[in-house]
Amino acid sequence: MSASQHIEPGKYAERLRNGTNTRDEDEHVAGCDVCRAAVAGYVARDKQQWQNDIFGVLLHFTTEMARSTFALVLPPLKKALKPQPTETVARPQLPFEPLRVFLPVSYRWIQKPQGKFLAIVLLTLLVLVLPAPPGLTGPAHRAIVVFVFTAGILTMQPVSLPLAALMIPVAQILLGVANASQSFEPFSRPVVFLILASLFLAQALRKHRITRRLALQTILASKGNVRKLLFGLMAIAAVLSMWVENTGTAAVLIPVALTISRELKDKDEARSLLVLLVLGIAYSASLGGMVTIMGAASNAVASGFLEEIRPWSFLDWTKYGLPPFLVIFPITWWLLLRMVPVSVERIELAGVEEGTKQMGEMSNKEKELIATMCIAALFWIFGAVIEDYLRLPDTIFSSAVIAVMAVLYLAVRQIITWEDIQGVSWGIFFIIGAGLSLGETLTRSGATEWIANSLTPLVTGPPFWASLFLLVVISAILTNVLNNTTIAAVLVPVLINIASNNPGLNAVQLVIPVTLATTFGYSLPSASGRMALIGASGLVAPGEMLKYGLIATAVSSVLLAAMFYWFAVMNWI
Amino acid sequence: MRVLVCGAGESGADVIRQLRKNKDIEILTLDPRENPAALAEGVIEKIDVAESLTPLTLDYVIDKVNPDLILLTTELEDLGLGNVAGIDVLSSSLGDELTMISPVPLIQVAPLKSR
Repeated sequence: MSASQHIEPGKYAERLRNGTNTRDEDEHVAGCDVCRAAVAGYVARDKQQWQNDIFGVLLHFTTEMARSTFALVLPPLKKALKPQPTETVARPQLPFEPLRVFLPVSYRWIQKPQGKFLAIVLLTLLVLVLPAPPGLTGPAHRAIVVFVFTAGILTMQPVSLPLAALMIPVAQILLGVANASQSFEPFSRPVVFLILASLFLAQALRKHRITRRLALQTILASKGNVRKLLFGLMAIAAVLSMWVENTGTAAVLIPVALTISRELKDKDEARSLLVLLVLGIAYSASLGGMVTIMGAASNAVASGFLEEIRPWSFLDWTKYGLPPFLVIFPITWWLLLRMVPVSVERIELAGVEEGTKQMGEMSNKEKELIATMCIAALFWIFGAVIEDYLRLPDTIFSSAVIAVMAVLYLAVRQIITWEDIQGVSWGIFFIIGAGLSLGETLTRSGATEWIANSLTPLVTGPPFWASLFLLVVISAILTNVLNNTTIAAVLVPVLINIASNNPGLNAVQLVIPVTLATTFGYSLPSASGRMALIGASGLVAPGEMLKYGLIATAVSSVLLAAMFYWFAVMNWI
Repeated sequence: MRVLVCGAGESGADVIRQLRKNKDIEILTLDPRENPAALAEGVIEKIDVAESLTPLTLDYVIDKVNPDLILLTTELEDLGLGNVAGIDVLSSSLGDELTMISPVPLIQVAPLKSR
């Protein structure tokens, strides 16, 4: 580097800072006043600039620190100064919108019991003051008034159904068609205890989660195939409903259907699947109830009246109830798959598998409970045969005694306790008792005979197949608006009366199909406890319930009437 | 700790009063009704999540409020479905099902009426 050629101070200062400066440059700066002054000036400006930058960074850092501290401290400080309920921390975007059911909106009218009760009383009084039709005696007229009151009170339910049922014997006494003994005596019939014991057994199944376990294992066996899954759930609901209370069985299985449906994240798909499964559970719980006396309250009432005219056992009912079930059940399954559109054919069962794992192995108590139920079922079916064969005292193996013994055995084994039983919905006890009581009163007062005389031309006039079909359809339609027990309480004594006055007719030919038809209440929430549950909880829309229900009812009624006509033709009944 | 109290009826109100004894517990409430007992009685000022807790809404609710613990205090009246037959069994079974499937600890609190 020559003495006349000056260096660039910035580049030299940079190289000096990095240690890449050369000896020539150093010697030049040392000997050149101009370059030395230029470099000194540059370094001084650079230092000032650096100091300025540092200050800016520090200022920014300090401001941010203060702001962060403020942001961190202020909310708890505000909270400490003014305690208030916490606020939901909602994420801005959630992954999905769930299907919402169980919304408390559908049945606000239920909450106004006084108005409904007043309406029922006014209707009852109106029928009371109307002139009695020709041929109807005073007591029979008042018994009809009790029927009107019963129909109103059990349909509109101004109070819970069991309490509404308790009003019926009181109404009979107040209207002078029965005394206290006559009104309350039917509540102590063996069939009432049979139903009561079946409620206790249902509670034992629920306590030990047998129903849920069976349902989950059935679902797993289906491997997620929707058709098989529906069939499995329906089969569980039906088989259990044969032995224990069917609304309770459906109520235990509905949450399982909700768990299955949550596997589908698409809301519409989940809803379609839920409707399919819930309707399947409700229909099959009703259908299963056809098979046994304790399957439905109407069966119990009908059996109570049949016992009075002929020997009538558990097996007698099942003999006529099982064949229609075996035909109508698979057809209902097929019908549901056709009616309710579900776009998915297979679903993932990760949640169900997890649920099954959590339940673990079946405990000894659970195994003992299932064994007890199976033994009880065998005695229910073959008890009368064993009784005869061993020449045992009469009714020792009757269905009510077997059911009560099964409950007592479970109690002794500590599988079920009194505390468990206290949690049972005892309501059906009153409903059956009230139904039997009403039927007795109608018969005693002569109202049954009057109705029977009025209906005889309808039953005996047309060909038997036509009258059978008509009776079944009337019963199936009525069951949507009237309580099943009420229908059985009124129609069964009437049909027994008609049959007794017409030698060509058999009471069982008429009573069983008409009672079984009360199973087909699928169209309205008022039809049964199952439909009320799924209607009130919003699981199925009213329009869907009506549409699918009417189709299922029509198909089932035709099949039932056809089967019983065939039984009659073949002399099997 | 964030505790979600499901059901702001009488049992829910009782549970909330007890939880308030511990200031470290952040209480969140869930109820589908417009004016449940806890709100009507002034125990809480508002419902945090206006939903019914079912297996279908469980994941959504957990995602929304991120609770550490769920206390199910739903009584029959809290469902707001009237006096339909079998609703007691359905309510109880729903609680059992939620207990089984919930990824967050979920405890059913015995309703006041059963005591």
